[in-house]
Amino acid sequence: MALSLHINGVQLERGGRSLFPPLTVSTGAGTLLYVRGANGAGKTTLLRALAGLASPSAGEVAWRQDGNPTTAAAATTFVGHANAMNDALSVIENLSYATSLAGQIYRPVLVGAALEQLGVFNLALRRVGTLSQGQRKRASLARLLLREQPGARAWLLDEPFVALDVDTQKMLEQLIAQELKAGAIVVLTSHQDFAIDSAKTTEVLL
Amino acid sequence: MSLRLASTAVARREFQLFARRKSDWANPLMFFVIVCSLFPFAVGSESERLRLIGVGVIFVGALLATLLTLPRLFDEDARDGSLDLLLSSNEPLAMLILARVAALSFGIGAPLILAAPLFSFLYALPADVALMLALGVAIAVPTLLLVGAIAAALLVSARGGAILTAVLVLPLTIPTLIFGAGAALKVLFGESPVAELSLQAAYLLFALALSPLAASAALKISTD
Amino acid sequence: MARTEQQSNDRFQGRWFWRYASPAAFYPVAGRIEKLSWALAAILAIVGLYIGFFRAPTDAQQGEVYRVIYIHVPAAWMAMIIYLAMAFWAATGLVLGTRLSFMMSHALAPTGAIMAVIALWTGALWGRPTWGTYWVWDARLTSTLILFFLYVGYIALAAAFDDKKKGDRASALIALVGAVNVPIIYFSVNWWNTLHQGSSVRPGSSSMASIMLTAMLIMTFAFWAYCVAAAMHRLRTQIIEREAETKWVKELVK
Repeated sequence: MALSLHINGVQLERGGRSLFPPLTVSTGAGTLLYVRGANGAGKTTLLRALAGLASPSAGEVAWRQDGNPTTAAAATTFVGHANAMNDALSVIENLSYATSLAGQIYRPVLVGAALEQLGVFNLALRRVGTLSQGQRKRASLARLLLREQPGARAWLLDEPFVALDVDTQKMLEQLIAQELKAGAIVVLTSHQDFAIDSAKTTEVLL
Repeated sequence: MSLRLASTAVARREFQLFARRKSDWANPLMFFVIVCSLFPFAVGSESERLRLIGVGVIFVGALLATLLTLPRLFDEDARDGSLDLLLSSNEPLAMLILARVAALSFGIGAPLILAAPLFSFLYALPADVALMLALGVAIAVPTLLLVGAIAAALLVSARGGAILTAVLVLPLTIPTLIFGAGAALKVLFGESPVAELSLQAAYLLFALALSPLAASAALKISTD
Repeated sequence: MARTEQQSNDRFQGRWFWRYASPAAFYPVAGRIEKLSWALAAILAIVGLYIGFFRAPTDAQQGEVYRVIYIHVPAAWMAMIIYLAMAFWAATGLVLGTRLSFMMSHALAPTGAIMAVIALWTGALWGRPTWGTYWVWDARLTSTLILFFLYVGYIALAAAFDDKKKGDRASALIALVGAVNVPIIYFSVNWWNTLHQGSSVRPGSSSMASIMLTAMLIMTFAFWAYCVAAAMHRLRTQIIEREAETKWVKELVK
């Protein structure tokens, strides 16, 4: 169960302009890929490309599971700026929708455990529209913990620490560290400082 | 297996939303009711005249009411980010869109199908025409949603979405309008509506086969 | 299926049909085609109009009014043909990712829309003395009107995106959707027309003397040449506008 990511000469465009020179990076299991760069450097676009949501204008992004090619959809969970939750539905309903689309079977126990870990178990049945920004963020991060087993999916986190209080940020840092130990790849962008205990960190400056 | 799981999830979510926000299906219905009620004021209330325009008014009213719901397909999801879940699913996007359009057809279509015969009585149309109208609307609503899904998908990230959607979609609904209203008119004049009805159904099947693919391509273009 | 322009370039580099896939290479060629087409259009139009207006006999039924067909029919044909050409370049662009193909589509669209307008306008002018009214819901006129709507939709969609590339692909897709639907729409409008009213006299429906046919053919070629010239002119403007950042354009306009 080893996941690897190969970014090969990738270039991305916005409005017809290349965002950065061709990027080539390869990482394997247990690596934290820290994507840095100024505003507008293309961090979010790069993450979307890794998630299969944007296509590079040149080069390719390849995910491999034990050396065999796999799709970004099967290999990653992407948590972006937006929470991917509908205001009119409850946290549980939103998460059930997300897991079904990600090709996982919805297990209430698993979802309960994930919400518990993020400290929002009591909000499970509340409509997302009634939650605060921080609570929404935490609930949406629960999606990360709904993978088949720890380390099975790469986490693509776009500014995950925004809107989180100090304690929650610490907790998320720990969750990321645990996931890395379990063999995941974590790609993240952040404007805030963070401290993640990881065996291997690769920095990419765009 | 997991495709069934995913498309059920998509459809279920749509129904959950319909149950939570009644306005999603009630507003198009209200729009339809009001549009249909306006015409007699404009053309006069003699039943002979109403009978002649009734089929057209009800049909166009139903199409416009359905058109209004198109932004609901992807716009809200694009704003809150859940569109990414749909796009990053391993299942074929076309099938997921199809599931969504199917659920939306029920949610939007059912009230309109029930209201159409009701309004045909206000337009002095006989009962058999009313039934044929309901059937025509039942075929027209999914057809418009299928064709409209392409435009809605393209316009997720564009300016002036709502009006442009109408400009793009309405010309493509002409076949279903001609055949659907044609079938009801045939019944009104005491002829067999089978030819029109089959052609209208054929266009629905055609849209069913091609629209989801085009809409998924469109969604990939506009979110890329 | 769909490639990026870079991928297509790697694949087809050096092949004969690829030589003019780059805007820079096609720009001068388009200039030559444009000049040739303007000349051709002018000559053919003069000859065609002369034969049509001064040589061809007066129509027995319709009198002099019928002569509008020398403009009406070619315009209606071009409106249809240009839509197909537009859809063809849209498909090419979507499959190969070539930006010149999308520009070609964009260049054709306004000309096609103008042709539809000319066909409708002359149809109305012809209809007034013949039918006694400017507009009749005749199948061909109605179809041309819908075709005009499709053009308008395409042009509006292409303009609705801030990101040009997105606008290219989005409008290309809608051009394809339109092209697939056009035959169905034509069929259904014909059906509707025969259902609601008997067939009426149409422009050019009566049997024609061979000199009339000659004039019409020449006028068709004149319209064809005009459309090519107009499209090439618009294409060149687009190339300059879109490639404004490149070195060759900067040197060209210096």
